[in-house]
Amino acid sequence: MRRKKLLPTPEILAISVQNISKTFRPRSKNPVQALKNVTFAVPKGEVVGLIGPNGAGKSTLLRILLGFLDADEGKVALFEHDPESLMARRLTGYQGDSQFRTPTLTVQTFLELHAHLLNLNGSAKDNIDTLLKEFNLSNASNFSLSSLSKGMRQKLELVLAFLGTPRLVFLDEPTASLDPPSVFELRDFLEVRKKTGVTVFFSSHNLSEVENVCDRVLFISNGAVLADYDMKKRKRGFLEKAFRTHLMEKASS
Amino acid sequence: MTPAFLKLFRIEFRRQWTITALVTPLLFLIIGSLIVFIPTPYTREFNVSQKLLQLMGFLIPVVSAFFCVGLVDNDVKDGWLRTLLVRAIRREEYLLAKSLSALTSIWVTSLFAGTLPLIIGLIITKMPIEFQVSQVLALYALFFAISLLYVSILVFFSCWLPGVVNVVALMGWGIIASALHAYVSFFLWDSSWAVFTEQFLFPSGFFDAVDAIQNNTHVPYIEILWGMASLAFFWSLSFWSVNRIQVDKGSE
Repeated sequence: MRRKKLLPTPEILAISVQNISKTFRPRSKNPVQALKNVTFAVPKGEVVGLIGPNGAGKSTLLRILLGFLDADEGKVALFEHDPESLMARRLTGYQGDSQFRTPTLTVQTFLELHAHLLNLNGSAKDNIDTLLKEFNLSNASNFSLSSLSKGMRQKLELVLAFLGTPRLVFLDEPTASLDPPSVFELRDFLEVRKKTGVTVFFSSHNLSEVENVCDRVLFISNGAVLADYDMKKRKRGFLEKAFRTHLMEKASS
Repeated sequence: MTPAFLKLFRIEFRRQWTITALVTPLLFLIIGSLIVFIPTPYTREFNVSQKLLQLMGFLIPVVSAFFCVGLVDNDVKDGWLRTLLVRAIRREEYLLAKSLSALTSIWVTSLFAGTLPLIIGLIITKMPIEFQVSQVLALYALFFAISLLYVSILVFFSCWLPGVVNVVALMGWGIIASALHAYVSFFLWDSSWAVFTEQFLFPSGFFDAVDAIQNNTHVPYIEILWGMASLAFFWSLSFWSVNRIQVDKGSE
């Protein structure tokens, strides 16, 4: 009897985006095509950066990946699940820029709520304490949400993103309000997390930060992914040169 | 109810009790006391049902409007809803926790500002007291149903209208409701379509039931059924709306 040849199991992708398009105000005189046939895939454990000029479609793409917005066309999957499904949400974390200033809630209570929503139960306290310590927020655990500085809020959003054991984390401008020491700490933190196999999707305008942290970088402009760079063999300053080249090409066209 | 849902309910309740909200029951207590202690002309008795009707008839819509201003819209604007919906929580669970917390706040305030002056009034009044337990309990139950109706309408409005606008919309809705109810009752009472549309879009079932109980005319089964039907209609609209709204209203 012939032995069956073992086929390699197809790897489950952390993010799979196929031909997604999105147009805002499609029936108006000036429709805005935010995304045009965007296709890419992110395997598990990769740290992928998303860069591009203002209005390129980064936020729209991120909102579609998080299930906050529906694409007009195409397909999006997170670990083969619909982004809006509860299964996908159990596996993902997100750092955004929320503005709520609830004076009657403390940082600790707020994080406890999210620990409950993540069903962390017994491990919640340890998990919260560890993350607060890692982001230097232990002293602020009893601060009310309305008394946090911009930088502290950003750190709290980061704690929120990594609470529980997310397999995929979306970071939207994670260093925007952080001081240099906090940026270094975040970089070290991401290095450690990368080794545990967590996938990170990182949207930023800070090119050197993206270069330092990411394995791969997607360049998006006018709603289309123009380039997909493997960052492992690139020299420092590569992204800035590439960005300038794209802008010049755009200007000349 | 899961522990996560209960935690969310408790947090939503705490979020509503800001310093302004803590002062409000005291303000309503003063207004409630004025309603109870200012004597009604031509009355020679302390009629508990009548006083309750005056108190709750004023407090329930005002307190509901106070606690439900921008209930969902504010959460969308400041990103609170976005941080919740990244977690494995359904929008329906969020809406339920939110509405229950608003309802609890409305009743804590209404009981404090509505019942306390009534009890004090009962103790200190020198007039003969008219008090029917079944009538008072029925009125409380009906006002609870009315508060549920107000919350459902305000939740529905707050999914689509910004901040205070949804309270203005409720006031407009209330004015149109009374005008239309009077018109339909006098001129279109034999048109089943007019009655049906009016009862669903501008429901008056529970209010008619309150009148029937207060005047001891009949047991208002039909009115309560109409009220329940419109309550179900507005809750369905609210659940539909919360599933349709854009969670992230960032720049396009």
